[in-house]
Amino acid sequence: MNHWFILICSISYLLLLFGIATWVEKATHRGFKLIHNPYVYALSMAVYCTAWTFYGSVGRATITGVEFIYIYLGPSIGAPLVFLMLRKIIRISKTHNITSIADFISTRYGKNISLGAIVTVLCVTGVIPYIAIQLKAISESLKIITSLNGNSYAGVGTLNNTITLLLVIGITLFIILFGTRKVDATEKHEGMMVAIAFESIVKLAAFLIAGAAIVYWLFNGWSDLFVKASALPNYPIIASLQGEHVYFHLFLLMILSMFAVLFLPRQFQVAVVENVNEDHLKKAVWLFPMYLLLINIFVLPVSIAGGIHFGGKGVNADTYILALPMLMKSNWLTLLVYIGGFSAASSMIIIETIALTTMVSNNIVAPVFFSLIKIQDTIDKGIRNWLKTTRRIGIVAIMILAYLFERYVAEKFSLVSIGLVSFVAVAQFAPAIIGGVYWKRATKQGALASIIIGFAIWFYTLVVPSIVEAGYLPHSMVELGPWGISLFNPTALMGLGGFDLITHGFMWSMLLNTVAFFGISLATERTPQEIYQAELFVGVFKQSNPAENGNWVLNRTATMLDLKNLMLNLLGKERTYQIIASYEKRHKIELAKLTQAPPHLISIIEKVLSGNIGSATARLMINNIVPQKEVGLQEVLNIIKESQAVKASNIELKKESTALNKLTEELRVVNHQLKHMDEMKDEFLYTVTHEIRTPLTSIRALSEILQDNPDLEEAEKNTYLEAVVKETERLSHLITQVLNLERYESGRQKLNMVSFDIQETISEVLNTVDSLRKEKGLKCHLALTSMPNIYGDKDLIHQVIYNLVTNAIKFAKSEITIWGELENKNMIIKVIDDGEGVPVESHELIFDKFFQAQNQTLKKPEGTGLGLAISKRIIEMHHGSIWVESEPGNGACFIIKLPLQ
Amino acid sequence: MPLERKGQKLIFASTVFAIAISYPLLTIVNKKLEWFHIPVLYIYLFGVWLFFIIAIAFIADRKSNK
Repeated sequence: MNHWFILICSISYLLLLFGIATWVEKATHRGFKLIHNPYVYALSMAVYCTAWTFYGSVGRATITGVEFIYIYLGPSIGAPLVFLMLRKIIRISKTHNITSIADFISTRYGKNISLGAIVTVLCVTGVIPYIAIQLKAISESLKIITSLNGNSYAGVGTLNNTITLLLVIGITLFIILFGTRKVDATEKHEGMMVAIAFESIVKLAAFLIAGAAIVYWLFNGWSDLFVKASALPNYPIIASLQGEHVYFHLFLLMILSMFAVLFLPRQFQVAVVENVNEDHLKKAVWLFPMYLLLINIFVLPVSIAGGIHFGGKGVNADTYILALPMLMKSNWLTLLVYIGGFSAASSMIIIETIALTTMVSNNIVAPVFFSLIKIQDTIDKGIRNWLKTTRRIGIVAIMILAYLFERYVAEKFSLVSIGLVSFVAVAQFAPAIIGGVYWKRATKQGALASIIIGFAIWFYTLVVPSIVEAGYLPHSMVELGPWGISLFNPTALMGLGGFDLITHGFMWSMLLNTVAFFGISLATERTPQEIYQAELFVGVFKQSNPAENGNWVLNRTATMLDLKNLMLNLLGKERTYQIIASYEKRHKIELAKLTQAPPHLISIIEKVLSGNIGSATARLMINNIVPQKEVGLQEVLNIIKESQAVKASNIELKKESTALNKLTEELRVVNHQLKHMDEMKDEFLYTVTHEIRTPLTSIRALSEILQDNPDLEEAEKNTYLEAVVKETERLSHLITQVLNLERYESGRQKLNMVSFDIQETISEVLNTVDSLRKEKGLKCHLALTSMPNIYGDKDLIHQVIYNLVTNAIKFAKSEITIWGELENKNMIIKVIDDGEGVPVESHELIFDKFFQAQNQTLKKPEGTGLGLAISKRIIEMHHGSIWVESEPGNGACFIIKLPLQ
Repeated sequence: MPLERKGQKLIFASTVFAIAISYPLLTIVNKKLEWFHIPVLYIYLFGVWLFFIIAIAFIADRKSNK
């Protein structure tokens, strides 16, 4: 294809990115927030897949088979774990305005400047070659795509270099334009992020379309491809995993890539700094692995297809994905793949450069600069512009470094595994970060030692062999070891050979790094500042906004004048007055009237400054205006103790409140019961007096008749007198029963417990009521089997049975039955009649006092209406139970269940 | 605490997946076996991977019932 055509296409694609970013930023200003979307977040994470994935995976698969998948399986497995850890890291970073890995580590270990600077240097060292291979991928793909054009190769070389340079300049412009709009690095880069998400779609679509075309167009599907593949010389490698330590290697590769997805500067940038909502993680946790799966599914087929068509023809396997569409003579597919590769490379370059620049400016340039200059009392607008310019210079510097590396160093090194070498470099932060987030006891010395030792071993085991290969060091070094000392052989430390370079380097560096981290942390003490930061980091979910929360604020003072000068110089007029206004509004004070700034405000300003110049530099600036420089141990301990006391008292309060609620509920129930009982008592009194008045009325009426008519017949007189006597008996019977009931219910009745024969009691009752029964012409059946003596109050039980039997006689039509037997140490006695029966809804109510009296619809039979209530009470006093079984119209069966003892 | 339980489920899923694609279980499929001419190892890795993603989506991204 023609160079100029490719150049125009590439520039158009870049312009499209500019267009998208500009449009998004404008839309954001109008309030349309495309970035507030979990899909954009998940897609931006796919910046993990670089040109090294796009082109390099095919090459790797050709050499080692499915091994390459583990670079993507690791982050997938890690995604859920990362989800949990990232939630914490995001929360910490947002609370403290942290903008990079270097800032994170330096803030955690006491806002230490040297730690931040070291991490930055190591990141830059580890990652610049990685950016360089992206540039190399762009220039290589240009070389391939233009090679079959018929032009002479010599001229093409310089032209290609020019085009690459133009594209690099284009990308740099994009970064400067959309990456450094704001000085505050915590501000989101909306335009850039959406552009990155768009690039992720482009590279995935390009790879999937090209892969599918190769499998289904060039071949007849998967089966056809693999049948033809079995003839390839490297087929055994492709079809299965081979090698002495292959499983160990895969395992380490998995762990390594899991760390990389957390700690690569670009991943930290998209996952933490650009995160707008923690909830977006929920989608990203499965969408990101899904993306990785999709972009890998055609890698092996493409590698096989390339092997079949180009095997042994000197075509680099890294470029199969581009060379195959050219073989198919499909220009549009070739162009698509080229754009896909370009998008993979450019997205990585953009984000990685932004992340590195923030690190360099906040952790190296700013501390040096601010410790050299003295901020004047006059407002110096230059400082803010200076910060922006530094970042821009930083971006250009990083791009130039990467470009030079690509042009003059890269060709001397084997670049196959340079991505993995970068992975191992950033994995060295794992102990310091993971330990720092979950382990309070981790110390600055521990972190420093772990990172330095890790990097030293990384350099020795992974970079030195590359230098040897490039010819700058004697080859004997990797064969025999330096000066012939085989124990220090960089490819087989301590004589531990047989591993590939990555496995060997990762294993040794991580091992010693982790040991150093824990060992030295345990051997050293933390400064008060570290203790304070450790509490803030590890317990981040327990605090709410420590900068503004009174309990967590360090007790520092500064004059209002100094603080305001600092703000004006570093934040600018607009932001300064905005902060002051919102503070005054929230705390209802006028800051202008104060000479000393409140500690609260100082903490807030420090936090805001952290986002602009890094937390360590922010601390440096604040310390310049605060008389007491260092935090005292006692003060930190007090803060922690206080916050714990507050927490404890909160828990205590909660407990007490629960107990109170419970008590209130109980009281309510008791109150309800009392009210009910009161009502029942009133009702009872009413019924009793009513019941007493009836016989009294008739006695009075009959007596008056006798008084008014002295000349009544003797027989008539007797009838009236008999009636009076009968009513009086009824009255006194009623009163006796009321008194009895009251005695039973109040518990004043003592049971006179004896052992007695229940059969005898039943017979006695039947004898007493014999005349009554015969009068009504009723038959009586007695069915008593094996009735032993029972233990109880004989007279009271007699009374119960008497009540039941007289009731039965009252209601029966033709016969009554008394039935008794022993059942499981309980005596069951049933008194059965064949009367009208009891309706189901009344089965319980009939045992209430005066139930008959209250239910005027029932035909009122003779009796006080207290018999069943008394019987129930007596049985209950014997720990037994009484109930009725009845179907209306079929008689009733009253059942007593009495325990023998 | 629903999130804590969710976290435990996620860790569980990750552990099972990590075991499934590591030694010694991996040796079961790391053989010269083919299914529709495609190496079983390849199908296994992608199959387990897809299953894991679906499981994670189900655990992490279900609407929380507040």
